[in-house]
Amino acid sequence: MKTRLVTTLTGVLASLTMGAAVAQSDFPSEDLSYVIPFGPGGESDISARLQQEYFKEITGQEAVIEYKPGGGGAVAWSQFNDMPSDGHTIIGTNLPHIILQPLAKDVGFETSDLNNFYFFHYSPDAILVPADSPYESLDDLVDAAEKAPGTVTFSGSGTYSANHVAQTRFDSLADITTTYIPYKGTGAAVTALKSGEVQAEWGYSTVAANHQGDTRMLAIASSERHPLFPDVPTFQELGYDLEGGAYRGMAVPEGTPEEAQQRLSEIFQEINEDPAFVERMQELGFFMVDVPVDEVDEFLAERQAEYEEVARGFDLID
Amino acid sequence: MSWSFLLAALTPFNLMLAFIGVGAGIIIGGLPGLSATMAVAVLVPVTFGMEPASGLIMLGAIYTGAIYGGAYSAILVNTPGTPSAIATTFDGYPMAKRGDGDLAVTLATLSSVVGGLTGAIALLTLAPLLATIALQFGSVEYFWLAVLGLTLISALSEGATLKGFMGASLGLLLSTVGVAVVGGDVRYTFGSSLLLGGVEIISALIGLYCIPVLIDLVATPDPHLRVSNKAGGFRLREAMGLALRSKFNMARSAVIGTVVAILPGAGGSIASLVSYSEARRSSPRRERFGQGEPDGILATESANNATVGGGFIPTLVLGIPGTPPDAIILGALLVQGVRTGPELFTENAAISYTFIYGLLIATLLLLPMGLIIGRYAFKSIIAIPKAILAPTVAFMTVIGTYAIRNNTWDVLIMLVLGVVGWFLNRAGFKPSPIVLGLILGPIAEQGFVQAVLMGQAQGAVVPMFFRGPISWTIVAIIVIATLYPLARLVLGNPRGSGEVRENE
Amino acid sequence: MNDSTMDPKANRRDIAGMAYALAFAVLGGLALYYTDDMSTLGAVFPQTIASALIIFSLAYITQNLVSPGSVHPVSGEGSWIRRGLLIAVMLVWVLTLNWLGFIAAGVLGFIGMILVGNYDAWSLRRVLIYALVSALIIGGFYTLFAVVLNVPLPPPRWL
Repeated sequence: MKTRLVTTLTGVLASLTMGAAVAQSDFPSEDLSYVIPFGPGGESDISARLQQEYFKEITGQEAVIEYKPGGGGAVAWSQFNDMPSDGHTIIGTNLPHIILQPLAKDVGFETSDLNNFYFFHYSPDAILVPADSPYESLDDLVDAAEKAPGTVTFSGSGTYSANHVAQTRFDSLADITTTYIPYKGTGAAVTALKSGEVQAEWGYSTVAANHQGDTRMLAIASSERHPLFPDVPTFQELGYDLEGGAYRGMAVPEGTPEEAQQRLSEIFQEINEDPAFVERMQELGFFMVDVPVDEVDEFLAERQAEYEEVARGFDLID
Repeated sequence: MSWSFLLAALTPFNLMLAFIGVGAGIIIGGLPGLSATMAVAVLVPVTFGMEPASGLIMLGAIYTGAIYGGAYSAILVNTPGTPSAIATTFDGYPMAKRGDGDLAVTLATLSSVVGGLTGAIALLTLAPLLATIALQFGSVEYFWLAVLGLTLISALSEGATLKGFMGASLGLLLSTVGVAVVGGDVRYTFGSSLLLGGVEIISALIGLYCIPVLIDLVATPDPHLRVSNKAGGFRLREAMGLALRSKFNMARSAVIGTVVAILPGAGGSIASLVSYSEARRSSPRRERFGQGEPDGILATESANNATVGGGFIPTLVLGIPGTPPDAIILGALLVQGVRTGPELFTENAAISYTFIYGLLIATLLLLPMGLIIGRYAFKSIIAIPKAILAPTVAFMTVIGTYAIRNNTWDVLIMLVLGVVGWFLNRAGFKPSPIVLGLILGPIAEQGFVQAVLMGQAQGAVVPMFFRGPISWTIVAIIVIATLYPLARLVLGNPRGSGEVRENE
Repeated sequence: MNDSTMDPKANRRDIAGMAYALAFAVLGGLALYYTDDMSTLGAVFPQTIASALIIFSLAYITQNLVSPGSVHPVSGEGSWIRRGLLIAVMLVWVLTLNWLGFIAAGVLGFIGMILVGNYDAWSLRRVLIYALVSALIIGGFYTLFAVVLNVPLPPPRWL
């Protein structure tokens, strides 16, 4: 309670200080519009709702969530820069989507069109198998794939998505050939796994967290083991340089004042550091990151390089 | 299943939520242009401040109310309130046009309660067992199921079969617009972001059904519907008589609805379509279907309300949503920190069972509330002057379409499809095949391509499509369904009714 | 589009139907043409369906030319002007939604629709009642959706 009081006071003080540079006397001065480029119930929605709670505490304003699904996020991202740029409208952004989608096809926006100001967590890629699967470890699976190339099937959500990227990267790292079968959404991919239609799934630790009873994770693509799954090794431990997953961040429309971006970055950073928030996130299977506004460009450049390599493999670019 | 859960569902707060939820759901589902999915999506945030069980009860009540309410606009305005009510228009609107609209509404009420109770009781007693069915259906089975749905479309367009097929193909083609799940292509968008999200099913539904009605509504000063000469009232006794006569039909449709809803992604439209088909096939009054046959409404409304309870089975047991509103409700649960799966029936049993009892109560509430609201709905549609009815319906189509994805382009697509649909309708191309093609397209395509990929992985593609007893069964049904009318044609029709006639 | 053919048993050719069938066949052809840019997997379904559409359309035209069935009876009654106006009003309404904002476009559209749908004589009383009812309906829905449920209805951009 006390830390929260101190945090709130600090927050108020900070906003009052920054306020001088921003047009309003303190920012945010009204409700925030938080656009989610997907439908309700997904991971982006759940994360935003958790952030919403803490946003209210820190700033006293509501973060009102609006859904704008379509095209895997492309509809909302392509229309976003038309929205008000006074700093009170933000949109959730996802990697690899915002990098791969424009590379793959004409989606009405370019990666550089989105002004990201913070990245707060990611769902680390993970290989899941049914609880009764013959594969006890990652090695088992790699062996099976080596013996019979192409026969090991993975379900995953969508094409050119994080799951697909992970499968492609791992195949090249392990020098094997597996078959990726795209499904519409993580829900369908998990169903396919549980029904035995595919032998494994390229999903995330969040999926494993939600289906702990009947699925197992063979490996996780994070820098260290996830607190919720202390027995699951990371890919790096097992010798594969695979780290990453679906990152989530937020952006503002073009023309938003820098001070507002800075302030938003700080607010969400604060939310991200709150221990109770971190705990809720981890219980759901997420892995925290902290990429404030001044580090965003570098972070995106790194990811871009990673994805470009994969995109070459897909024949999307030369 | 202890009694404490039932008592928990009967607390004043939860009862009030059930009551308000059902009422709100009926009204929203009943207004042409507003849909059940939209209702649930838009009201979910309201439940975040509540206990999980209470929130679930309210959402479940809204859902079941809206599915039932969809019958109102289907019967009175020929616009299904939700995809589940598409088949209700087949006989509902003709009944309304000839003056039996109040009877139709009462029939819908009775059968919705029967169906809803069946689904909810299945959820209560057999959920874990039935959930295993969901896992038996994979890509291959879904593909064949979609093909079966498409063949049913043809059966329903008797006499105008080719037009039905053309409509279905158009719908299937429309379903490919946008980003493809498999392959990741962006198809038929011509570079604009307008079509990037594809053709949204509900906007197409509203457009193809409601706009033509509007266009013809303003064309004449005649009253929109005829009022029957029978005395006012619910025509309850008459309806109950018809319902009792058709009890097997209602029961069978309820079972079909429950089972189809267990298959994630199948949804109410398929359930009601299949039960309608079955009802027609086995009815002694087969020829009257499509012209205002009460059995038609009894079948479809029973099936679609059964999908409410049925759809919760995979949602709660497996964490896989049975229908689109279930996906939203599932998300709401996750936000509340309630995990689905076996825990939901063991550690969190309080939440689940309280909710299920609440759903049962809400379904029972459909009867009194439905009858009362139905009476007013019917009276008001007739009493409101067209000068107000038209703009109000138009307004609701605009806001109802917009609110689905918060996208104004959906509204434009709705209108364009509506105008096109009106022209097509005049030439004998009905909207139902188009909408059903749109709904079944993604299921068919994804199932097909996924099966091909899996087949390739195993080195044998064609056998993949005939794996297991379920695929064979569905294929057999398809063959029978296609050959049956042909056989009747060739071997002579024992019932003596004309086979080739234009379907009104 | 042909007007009413009151005798459904006459062996007339379904001109309207055939015209649409032809249009569908052309549409199918266009759809096939545009599958060039797609990947193999992505093109399978559209190609199959487009081909089916073309086949069905040609089959219908052939069937109608060879053995005409009955024509779908269509009512030619009713005011075409009003129908056209309704479509026009709604089109303007939808196209100006983003620019005028939800309320302004809605009010204009609503008023337009009242005028299109009204068959009764205008009196002061009628005008007042309709105005009141319109305000209630528009206001009610707006409050419910935008205020209570936080649905982001399009704001006016012309201000």
